[in-house]
Amino acid sequence: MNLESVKQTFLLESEELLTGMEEYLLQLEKDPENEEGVNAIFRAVHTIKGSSGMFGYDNIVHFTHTLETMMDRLRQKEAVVTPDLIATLLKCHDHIETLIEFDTTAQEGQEVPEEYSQRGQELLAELSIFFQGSQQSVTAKKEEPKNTAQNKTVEPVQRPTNGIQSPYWHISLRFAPSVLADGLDPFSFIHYLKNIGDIKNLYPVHDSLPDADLFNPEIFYLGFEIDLDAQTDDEQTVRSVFEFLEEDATIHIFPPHSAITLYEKVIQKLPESRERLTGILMEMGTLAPSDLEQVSSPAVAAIAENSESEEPEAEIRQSTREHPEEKKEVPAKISGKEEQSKKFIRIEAAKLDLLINLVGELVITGANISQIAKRENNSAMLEAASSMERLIEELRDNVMNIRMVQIGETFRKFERTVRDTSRDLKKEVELLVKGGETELDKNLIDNINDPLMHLIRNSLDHGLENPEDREAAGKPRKGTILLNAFHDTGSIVIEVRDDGKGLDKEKILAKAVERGLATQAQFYSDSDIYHFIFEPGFSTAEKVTNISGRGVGMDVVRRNIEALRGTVDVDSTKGKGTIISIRLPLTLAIIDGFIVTVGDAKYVIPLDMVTEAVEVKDIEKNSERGGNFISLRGELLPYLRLNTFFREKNMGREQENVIVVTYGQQKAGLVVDDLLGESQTVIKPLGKIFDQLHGISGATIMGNGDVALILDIPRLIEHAINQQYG
Amino acid sequence: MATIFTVNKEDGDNIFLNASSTLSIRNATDAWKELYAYWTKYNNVAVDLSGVEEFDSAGFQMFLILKREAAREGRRFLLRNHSEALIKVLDIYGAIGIFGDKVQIAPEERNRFYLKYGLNRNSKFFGAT
Repeated sequence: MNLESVKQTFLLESEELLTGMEEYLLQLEKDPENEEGVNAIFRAVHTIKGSSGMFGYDNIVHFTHTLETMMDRLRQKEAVVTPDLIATLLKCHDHIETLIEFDTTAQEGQEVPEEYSQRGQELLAELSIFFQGSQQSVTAKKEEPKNTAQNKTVEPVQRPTNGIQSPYWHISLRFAPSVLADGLDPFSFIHYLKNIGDIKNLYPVHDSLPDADLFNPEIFYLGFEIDLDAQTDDEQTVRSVFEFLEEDATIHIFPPHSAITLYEKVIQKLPESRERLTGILMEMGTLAPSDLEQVSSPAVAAIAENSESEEPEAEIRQSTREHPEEKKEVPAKISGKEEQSKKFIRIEAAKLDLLINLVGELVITGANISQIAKRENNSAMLEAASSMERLIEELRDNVMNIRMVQIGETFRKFERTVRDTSRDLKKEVELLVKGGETELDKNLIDNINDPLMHLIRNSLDHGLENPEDREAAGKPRKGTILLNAFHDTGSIVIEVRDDGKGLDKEKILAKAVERGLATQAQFYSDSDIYHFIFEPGFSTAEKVTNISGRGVGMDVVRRNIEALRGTVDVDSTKGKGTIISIRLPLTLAIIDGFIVTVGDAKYVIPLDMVTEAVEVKDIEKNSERGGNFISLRGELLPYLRLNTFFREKNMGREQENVIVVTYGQQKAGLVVDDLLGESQTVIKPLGKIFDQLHGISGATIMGNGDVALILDIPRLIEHAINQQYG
Repeated sequence: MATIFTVNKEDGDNIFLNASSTLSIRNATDAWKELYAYWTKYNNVAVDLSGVEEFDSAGFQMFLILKREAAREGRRFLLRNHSEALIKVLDIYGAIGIFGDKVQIAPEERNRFYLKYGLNRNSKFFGAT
């Protein structure tokens, strides 16, 4: 195994994990109580961290390590899942993606750009706010039992001679002006204090608050003096509440009965005057007049002088930070691995393609054998051949099934698009998904992604209105986009529905006339008009946004879908919404075909599209009455003579066979010569030189080695209908 | 730009405003711009806060500065119908008494708040600077 292929595996795996993570995040946003989601996100981050470490991607390890810790705390319910938290986690998800992309493509020895690590730190800082103070609960649990004397080396309780009377902890907070802009809210930290004790008193110090005309609302000017009755005597526990604030605040913590000299020293450092501060502390009850008297006595002043050299250390002493989460890592790793169930194996797509090809060949050979058996009229062989055919059919279905992927996963990927785009556009949009379990060939799914993305963005940008406009139109503020997938006569239909303002027929027609695509005089059906939007460069948008409106796209959407042998349709009601339906063939490789002859040649009709076969006399008599249609049980059916269409020999029969085919809402009759029955058909694409061929979508090799052409039913129906009007 | 404070009633020197759902660092600049414009135009300003769902230190600071200015200039800046989000912050910041507005909390909801300090009206608070 070389490193490159292992790297590929890493890439694939991380991609999958990240997709899963994104999905769970979005789920979690809807259902914050979903514990399984939190676990899954934790595991994803954890696994990425592990495999990144194997490749020495230290920047990823570094980032994911902290992220993992936070996710673990989220598991412990140390933070509440809020939309803001999800938004931040989504950003972290994107950051991991960026890092992975960089690391796997970077040249040997290439430095990680500064902006990446900076971005990472910003994100982690942003994230930390949601976990404010939560470090404490872990620390507290761990440290309280072993709260030995060494933790209290400078415990002022040991010197009650000049300790103050108040039995409470005192905390003095002053903040960096940018604390709010940095995404930290002092309130959350103070609020958290309730978890380690009772706040006895709090005084908001507003001296730095400027006059109203000079006030900048994004700067934080206030300070706080807090008395706390904590249930701990470990300073570390109290300090850890403010851990994330350390860079954004000056924090002074005084244990109960701290020396008055300690207060004195801090008071000197604070921006407010000594009188003002002692006034505040006295008013709060932190300091009693008797406490202050001590300071004025020369003896105590001397002690204060002497202790100058040792006290600052006590004050400034940095909390020796422990990482309790590091210890928890071992069990976490094991459970993470266990979760990696062996339900799926990863197969290279090319191997699968080869297998399908082989099955295709087997189908052809099987048909050949059946034919020989028929010709020889050997009953034992016929029996064997027929059971082989049945097995091949089963094999075919199963192999094809491997390629089938539920479309739901693709749909879910759009949730992020909808979420992000609607935020950018300041719209409220909900994405609903129906028929996610509908299965579709993997190749089709890969190719349908871009067109769908485009259609969804279009709906978001042009279809759905602003919440205000929606309300004014009597609709709920929140718009909906529905992605719907279902099977319909041998094809799969994917709909993008929105309940927005709908297409503006007049505007589209006017634009079409302006561009010379239509004439004013002609009558156009609604569907004709809507189809103009698929013309290259067609846009009625008055303003071009960076999301859509440039008129590139809808024609590309149509081209992409037609390349998959599919079709697009639009339906719209003004003020109610728009439905765009994409109709795709179920599979790309093997179909059940219905074989017919036209002249001397054999043609295959996809069996799913065949409704019935009827014999009709004197077809031409009907058309003499002015239309190219036959009457089928009183219903008018446009028809097409395949021997005329393909310029095959005319057999001149009196009784003719008409195959009735359907595609979507449309129906037509195809006039053929002989019906040869059903057969499995392996679709072989035609070469490039046949690109312009109308009415043919591919070819197949019959059991006897003959080539038969596969009919492109949608195009033929269209042709039959147009011919009827033309 | 979304309007954060809407006028409920105007009565000579007095204006009664309704606050929208968010008063936090996210919209602090806009909120202050609007509020301060009313404050400079009217002598007395009252704000109904029943709709406020998101309130933080930035919002608190904004109110504090107007409360202080009102106290110094003998004008009135009144807060009415405090929402839960608001009481939560004022409560922890010990500002219910300082602000001096009537805060109504149903007895059964009292346990959702702290309500242990800063409840007494403190006329000296703004005068000391």
